[in-house]
Amino acid sequence: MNIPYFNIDVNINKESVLSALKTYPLLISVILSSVVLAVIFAIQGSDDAESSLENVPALTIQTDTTQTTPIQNAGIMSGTDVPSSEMTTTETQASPQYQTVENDYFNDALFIGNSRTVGLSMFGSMPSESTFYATVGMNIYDLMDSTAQIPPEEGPEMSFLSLMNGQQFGKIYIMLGINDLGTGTSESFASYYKDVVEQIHQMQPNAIIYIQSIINISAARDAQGDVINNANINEKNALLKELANNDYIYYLDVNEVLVDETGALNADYTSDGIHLGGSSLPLWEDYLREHAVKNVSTS
Amino acid sequence: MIFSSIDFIFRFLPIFLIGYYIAPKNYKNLILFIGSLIFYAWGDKTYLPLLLFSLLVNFIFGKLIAGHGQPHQTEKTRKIFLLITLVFNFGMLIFFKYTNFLIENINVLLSGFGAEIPVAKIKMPLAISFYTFQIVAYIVDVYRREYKPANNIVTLGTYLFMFPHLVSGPIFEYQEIAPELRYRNVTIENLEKGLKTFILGFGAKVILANPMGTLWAGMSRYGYESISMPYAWLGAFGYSFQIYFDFFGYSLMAMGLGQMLGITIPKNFDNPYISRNMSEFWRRWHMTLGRWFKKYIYFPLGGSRCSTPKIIRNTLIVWAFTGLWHGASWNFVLWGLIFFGLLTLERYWLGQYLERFPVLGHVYVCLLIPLTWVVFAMTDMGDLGTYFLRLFPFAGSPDFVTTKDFFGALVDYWYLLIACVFFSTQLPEKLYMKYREKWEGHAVLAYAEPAVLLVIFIVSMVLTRSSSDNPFLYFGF
Repeated sequence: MNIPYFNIDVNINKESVLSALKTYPLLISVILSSVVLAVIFAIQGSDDAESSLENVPALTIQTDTTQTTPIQNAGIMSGTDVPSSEMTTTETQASPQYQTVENDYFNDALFIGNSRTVGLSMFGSMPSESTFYATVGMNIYDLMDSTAQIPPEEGPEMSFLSLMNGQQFGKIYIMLGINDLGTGTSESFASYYKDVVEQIHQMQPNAIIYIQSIINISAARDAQGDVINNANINEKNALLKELANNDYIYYLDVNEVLVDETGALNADYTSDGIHLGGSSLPLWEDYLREHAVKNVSTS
Repeated sequence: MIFSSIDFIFRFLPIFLIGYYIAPKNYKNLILFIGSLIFYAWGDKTYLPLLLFSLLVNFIFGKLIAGHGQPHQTEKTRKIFLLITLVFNFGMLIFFKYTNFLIENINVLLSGFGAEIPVAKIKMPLAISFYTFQIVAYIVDVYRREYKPANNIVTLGTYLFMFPHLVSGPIFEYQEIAPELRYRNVTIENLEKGLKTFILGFGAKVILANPMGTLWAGMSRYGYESISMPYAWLGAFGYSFQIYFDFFGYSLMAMGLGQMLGITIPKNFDNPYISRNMSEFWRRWHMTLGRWFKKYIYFPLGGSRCSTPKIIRNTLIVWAFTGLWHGASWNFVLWGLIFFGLLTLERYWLGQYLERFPVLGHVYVCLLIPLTWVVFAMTDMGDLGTYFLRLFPFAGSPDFVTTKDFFGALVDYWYLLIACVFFSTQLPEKLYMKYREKWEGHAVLAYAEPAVLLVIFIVSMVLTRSSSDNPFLYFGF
């Protein structure tokens, strides 16, 4: 083949292909691998688009006791089955009577969370007997299948299920949601959250479960205009609040002591607009101390 | 659009290269010029007309300043034209980059009287800092009759806007590439060679600089007051590696892109962290910027060939402007002044000792450079103070500070830190040369090198994809 205008002779045969490969090995292999990568990325991209439309795989808890739950199937329930009638109690009781407690209240507490809770573990003043299950990036969808270092960032890795299985806690504090702002809708988030809480309750029937509100972000971070914004957080918090039954599930609006008059995380308490600084953690801790429930009504 | 992005590598670059390679010789500059305008518009649509207007002004005034074909052009009118052009170019830079900085500082002064000027809503045009220095170099050189002005606006536009160096340099002179703008060899061999350089830079950016950026971001996560002393130092080193591999990687990618187009883009870095004093550091770091300041500010002021007070004055001016050029904020001025102080100290006292004891020199550079980068990184003076109190906790630490943060980060980053140290030295290059000599002519060499580069390319591509272009897959907090 001859392209006269450009003065290029193009002869394609086996020899010329081989010699091209010898002369330009990188160019040819990069072009080929780019094509492969582009195809893979495109396929992944369409998967992501689908999953964000379809939200997330349903994690269903069977409320009918005659059927076995996925957890029972997994063989991690140790005979502490809870009748379904109690689990599905959504009838909200009168606003709960909170008490102020001493630090030893948290000795048998488990804190579940993301990097915000990692900060509480590293720089906070919770008693050393308390347990933290928290990693950077933790989110509600991954929690059940996740592993984490206990204590965070220094201890050995442990899976969430073996932690739940190995030890009974008196109180479980959950602070999750900031990493879930870009996944699904607020409704799908709340319904998944509800399922997770109910699973935890099945595994830890004697524990009081505290759902902590997702801490708002600073006005400056809010102004960046991505999915991580306060309107999104507020919407999710409103739905989380409805999960409380004030029997064994309580909702704690920690934002009460952390936000400014505009509803954004007070800029004095944070450097990056998302995490509480070490010197501001006492606000969070004091709020938890002042909003404790003493006895749980397990019938 | 940055070079290490899916958009650039999978969309812009292949389409552009195909167009560029099939275009007839005489049209290659035009294709490069138009491609560069598209590249610019991809990142900033608003200011493209302004930049084109600036190009037209500089093209015309360049001709007027040269006085080419106008024998009656006197020295005086040439000087007037030069001044107009300089005022126009620097005026644009000052207006877009420094107006709000000025207003903020005036407001601080006015606050005593209860008055306040509202902050202007000015968006900075993409690339304006580098573009201004580039065009000023051209105008001044033409005035000094070092070379004739470009005779074609596309040629000048290609020199100024070519996308490999448009956004972040390197800054080079018109005469360095003028011959290549007239005639250059565009061959597949160059494409292969340029690709090698590009991939090395891509890897430096994605595999080394980005994770170091994550390490550095960890410093502010729980507030600077919460970090322990060793963690603060780790952060300072992490940031030093981030800024080096980011900029060095970018410059390598620029060089590689130039090679692909048949254009020689000068080297911008030469292992700066192995320096033994600050003046050596600045001969190895961002080399083309140092060269610009020397040629267009330091030497015209008299350079080092004058009395001691004048040398000190000249150094002060250069470093105050170097600081300010890096950003419109006081910490950059402070950063520049620190280098003024260190360089003056070296010239008149410290230099001789550093010369005599090379180990001392290395320790001095390796400890001080990270500290200067911390000053560079912190635009908030309050944060800067807090950070230095954590680096040097003479005032004590808050109770909640714990070295857990340091050990946690060390577990995650130790291997990358070692890699960063290794690639900051000359060792990789030396090893490569040695191995080249040894295996010269062997088939192993011919395939091992592209194989390694291909792995770097694929790993970098996957990392790029999983972090930036897919935010929902990456959980940040």
